[in-house]
Amino acid sequence: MVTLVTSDNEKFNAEKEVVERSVLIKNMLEDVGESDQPIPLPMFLEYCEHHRGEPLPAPDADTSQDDTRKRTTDISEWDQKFITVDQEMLFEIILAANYLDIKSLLDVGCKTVANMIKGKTPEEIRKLFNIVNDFTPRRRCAQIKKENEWAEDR
Amino acid sequence: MDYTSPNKKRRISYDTPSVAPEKRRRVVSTTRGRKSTKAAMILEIPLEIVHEILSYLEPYDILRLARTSKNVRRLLTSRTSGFMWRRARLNADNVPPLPADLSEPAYANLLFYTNCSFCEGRGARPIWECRVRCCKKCFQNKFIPEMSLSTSYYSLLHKHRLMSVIPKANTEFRRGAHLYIEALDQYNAELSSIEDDVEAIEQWISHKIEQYNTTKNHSRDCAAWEIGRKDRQTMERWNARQDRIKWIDERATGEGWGVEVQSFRSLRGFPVGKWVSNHASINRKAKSALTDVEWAKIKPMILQSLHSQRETLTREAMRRRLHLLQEAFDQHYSQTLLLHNIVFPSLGDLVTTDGPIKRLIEETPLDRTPPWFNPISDNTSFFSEIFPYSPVFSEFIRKWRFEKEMELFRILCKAVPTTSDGSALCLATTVFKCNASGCGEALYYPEVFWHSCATAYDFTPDVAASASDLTWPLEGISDSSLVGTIHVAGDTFDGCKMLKTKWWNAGGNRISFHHRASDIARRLLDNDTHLDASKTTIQQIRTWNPIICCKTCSWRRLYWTDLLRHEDVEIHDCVIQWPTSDQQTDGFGLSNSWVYASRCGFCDILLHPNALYAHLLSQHRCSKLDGYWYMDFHNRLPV
Repeated sequence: MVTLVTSDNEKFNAEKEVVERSVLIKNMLEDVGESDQPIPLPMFLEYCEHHRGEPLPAPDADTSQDDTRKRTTDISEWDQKFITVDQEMLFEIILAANYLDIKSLLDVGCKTVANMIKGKTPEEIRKLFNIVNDFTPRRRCAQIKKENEWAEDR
Repeated sequence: MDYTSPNKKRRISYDTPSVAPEKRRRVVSTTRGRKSTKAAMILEIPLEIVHEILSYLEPYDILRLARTSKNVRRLLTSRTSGFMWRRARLNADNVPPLPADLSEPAYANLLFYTNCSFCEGRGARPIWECRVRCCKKCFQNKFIPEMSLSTSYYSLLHKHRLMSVIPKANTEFRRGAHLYIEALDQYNAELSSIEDDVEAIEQWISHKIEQYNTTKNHSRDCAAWEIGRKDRQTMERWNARQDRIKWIDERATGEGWGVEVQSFRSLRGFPVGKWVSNHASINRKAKSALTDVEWAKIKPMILQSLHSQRETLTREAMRRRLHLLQEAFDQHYSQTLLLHNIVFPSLGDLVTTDGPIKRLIEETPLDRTPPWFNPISDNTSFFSEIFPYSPVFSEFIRKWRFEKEMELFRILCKAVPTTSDGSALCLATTVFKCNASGCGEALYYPEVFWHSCATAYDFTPDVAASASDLTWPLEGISDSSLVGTIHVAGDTFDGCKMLKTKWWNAGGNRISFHHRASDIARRLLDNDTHLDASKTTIQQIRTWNPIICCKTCSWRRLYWTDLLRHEDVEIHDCVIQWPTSDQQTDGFGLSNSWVYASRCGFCDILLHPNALYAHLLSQHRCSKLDGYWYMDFHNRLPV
């Protein structure tokens, strides 16, 4: 058993197999070995518990092949339910997943955000993510012309 | 740093857990120094996560994202972001490779942004060779027909025969190619600048030819990709629409409308969701599934059609039930009632009067078979075999008969106030009349109960019927609008309309007292020495079947039924001609039970129908020749 402590000092006990879904924690445990000292981490036990036993990505996995293939944004039903949270929490999850190096969770978070962006107009995206429109009102053609030039060429 | 291949370099000390990796500090901010924790969170996350998110998008999504703010545009249109666009192109199906003359954003704009490149107008078509999309209006300003090109202005291009490598738009047949003016001017300027250098011109020309050929090949790929994309989009939208329609069916089924949804599909040949397929929620371009909010918007329309379907189903079930009842009743009527002159409620009375049948109709659930359903059709009728043994039914018939006889008695009393008791209904002078237009038949008790006009659904009263004939409103007869409805599980049905029948004397104006016929009968009986008009019943008359003679017009052989049809009977003097002792023994006298007869046209003798042929053969020289019968008065036919 491993004891996890959140930033607000709440303690959780979890099996080693569960928490090792986080590469970060796995590496920590490997480095430290058996220790009574608690590991301070945000909680992602529910996600890790559900995906317990699933194969972890190999640390030296070749990603070049993945980069040449089409990426889909399909998310499993359980993950979809898990990630149905407000936007702030969604980005917290993504950041934490990135920090803890939980690739599958990071993928789910990124896919969710990508799905939110897909098919939306600029105005809808602005509204969705609270992005301030700082374009000066001018003809759209001119703006397009500008964006069509590579920024560094200007 | 690639987060996808974590290694031990990323490990952090347990002592410094709050220290984030360096990458977390690299953020894209568009908040212009605004202090906001919630605003634009997507722009506060590390770049590699942004890249990871963008790796799931298509070029057009990135292009639209780039158009949200200046900073985002700067990030996404920088040359260092080229890998994101390349990654995005992989996500879009079969996009031709990036041409050398376009940047990634420009290429994405050309491929996916369908508005006019010059005026932003809609309905622009792509002109791949020129790398633009152009609307009809701008086309006239930006392109020039090759045929009308000024040779003097572009003399250099003409001189070097370079017109064929100018980017052009191929328009419809006969109008020919249209050259892109911007390219023309550019080529002309470039050529003019090296006009004196022959070697440079040669190099420039070969470069332009090569460039044109490459562009042309690429534009061919783009055109093919565009067609494929449109087909794919159409198919995807169609599939998404079908999914939404299917989803509506499933949702409605989940909410308890399964039977209606199924029957809707089987009866109309399309799912109920298609009923609202033109609704913006269903018929939208986006491929996403319906949301609960959208469902809430279309639900009233769906429920309306499902309610209507439910009504149709229950109505059909009720119609089937009533038609089965009608079959059973008709069978009983033809086998029993008609043969034995039994007074029995009509079908309309059975389904409208509160009683065992109406209760069975109303209390048997619509999904259950009614008790009168006879799947074997073995001549056993629900009414004749089962119901007579029911005391409830016997009581119902007794009560119904009493009520109807009372109604008839009230009609009689209103016409003949001196009527003392119910036995008067049976008198030969008590004649009723059908008030239906075109009928007017004289009716006696009890035939008056099964006269078809009295229970017909569509009844048109005879305009000639005098107001005094019409007995409505009679005391004790309820308003017709309040009866005839059947209530099953909260639904109301018009049983009369479904069966096309009404209860007896519906409206109270169908049957009235026949004053004229009654007067004729009374006068005839009063004139007779043997019969008493106040006592003789129609049953007695029918049993005796006396011959009636008209002294005025010398009709010698009328019967009681003929009497009322006799012309001018009111002023003619008709009398009953009682048979002599000879006539009583000739086999056709009053003792015979037959009523209908054939009258010989030659000798005016009334004959039994079976005796007519022998009579004609023996008395009037009737002969058969070549299959035809002839009256051979002059003995001309061969014997």
